[in-house]
Amino acid sequence: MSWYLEDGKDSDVVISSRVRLARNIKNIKFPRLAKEEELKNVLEMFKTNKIDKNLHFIKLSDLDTVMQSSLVEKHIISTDLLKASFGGILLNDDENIAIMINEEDHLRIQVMKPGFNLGDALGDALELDDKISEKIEYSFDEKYGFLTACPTNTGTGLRASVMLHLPALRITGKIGRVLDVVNKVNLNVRGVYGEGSEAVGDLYQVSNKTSLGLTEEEIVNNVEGIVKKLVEQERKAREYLKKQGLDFEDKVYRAYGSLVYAKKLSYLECAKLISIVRLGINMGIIKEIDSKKLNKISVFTKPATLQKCLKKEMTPEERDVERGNLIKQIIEK
Amino acid sequence: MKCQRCGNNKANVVYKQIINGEKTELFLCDKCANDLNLGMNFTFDFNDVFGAFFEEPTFVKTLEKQKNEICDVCGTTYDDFARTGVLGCENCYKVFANKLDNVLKRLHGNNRHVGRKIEKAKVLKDVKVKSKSKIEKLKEKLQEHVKNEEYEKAAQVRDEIKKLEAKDMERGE
Repeated sequence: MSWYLEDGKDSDVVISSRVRLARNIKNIKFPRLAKEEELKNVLEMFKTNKIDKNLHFIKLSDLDTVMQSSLVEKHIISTDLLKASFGGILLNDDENIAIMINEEDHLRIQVMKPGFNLGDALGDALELDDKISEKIEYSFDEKYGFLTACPTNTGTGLRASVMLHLPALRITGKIGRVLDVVNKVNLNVRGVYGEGSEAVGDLYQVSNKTSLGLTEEEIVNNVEGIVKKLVEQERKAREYLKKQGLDFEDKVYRAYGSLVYAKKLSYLECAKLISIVRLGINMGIIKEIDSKKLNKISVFTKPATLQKCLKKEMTPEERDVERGNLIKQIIEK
Repeated sequence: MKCQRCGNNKANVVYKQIINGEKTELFLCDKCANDLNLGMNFTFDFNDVFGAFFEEPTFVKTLEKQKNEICDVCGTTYDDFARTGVLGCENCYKVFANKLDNVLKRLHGNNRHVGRKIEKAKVLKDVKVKSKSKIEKLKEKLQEHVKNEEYEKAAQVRDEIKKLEAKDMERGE
């Protein structure tokens, strides 16, 4: 089963955990300035060298635009990789290991886990890192560590990030203050899909800002520490909402009703409804649907993934209708 | 007021730059402002603002230095880096090391890597190369002392060589 449909530790608040390692290959210019020939060679290196038996090599130009966008929507690749002239991916069947080739750096090793599980994600990423370094020599400096195109990634090349669902903090008006605190402790926090702190579907991503001068474990521990606090705060806010009783339950069930029975649903409206329904499920209010089904709805209603799933390209208006139909199908299954 | 760049003409352009809250002002004449591309055709570019983070606090200092600083592998200049925020290749880290030390410190609060290293075998190999070359140098010195019939000094050098070789043996080289 794809990792993003599963639940993990603290899944009531934490959607997923991700670890990324940026690496470059010794004696080859970083992708932005590398010659065509060099970039082709890098792709070839990973096509012919089997890093891990579970990883499949995909040349990005072999995928159509719907497939490409769907990978972006599922956070498996970045939009920057789509702009790369010789981009590639090493991907496993569960889609929780994705190594981007020729993005800003030659390699971006990514491991994703459902729920709150940065530790395992880091362990898996470092294991892959070892396997690659057995075959390929990295750009490495004793003083600066792993050398990356952007100095914000130099050193460990590590970005540890956690995606959180914080609807109760938003509803109770506490989200702004909570996020300010996170920004002050040298971590980044941003709304997922949204502009600035405005998050679509109350999803926020917390990650480390610095990658040099700390060990990989220290970086992960710092992020974990703050995420634990955010989880606590969100749960407290949910307790407060629960005390509102019927008034709050009514709001939750109205969202559920719209999600299930609406004939036309835009992506934005759908994302907002999913957020409230997810909150309802995790607070034990909604029992008609479980979180696995909701995860499925959440992934398959995104524009490109919806088109990929129905195997046809559609206008936004057509998509709004099909989105409603697909939700009914998933719920009735 | 005279232009702070050429020191001849009257200054009639003020170039203000704020980096991390630190304000720098530069008074220039029209010609110098134009030379530096700061005149009427000065374009506001997001990358320039972002790049300010990587620039040295003193504008003049940057101008003097940037001329000689170009990466001989990828052709990136420090100016390019300040504008785009990205380096071109691993060699850039050597070429711009002096400035990067500060940039990294500002970004990360630290500029020394303490995380995982590339396989130990490779690091050991480097150490071996270093100590070998030291031994070789000492051997040359020894030859010289013998040639000059400075036997006492030669004995000292010989003992030093023995010590280094014993160290290498311990490491299993």
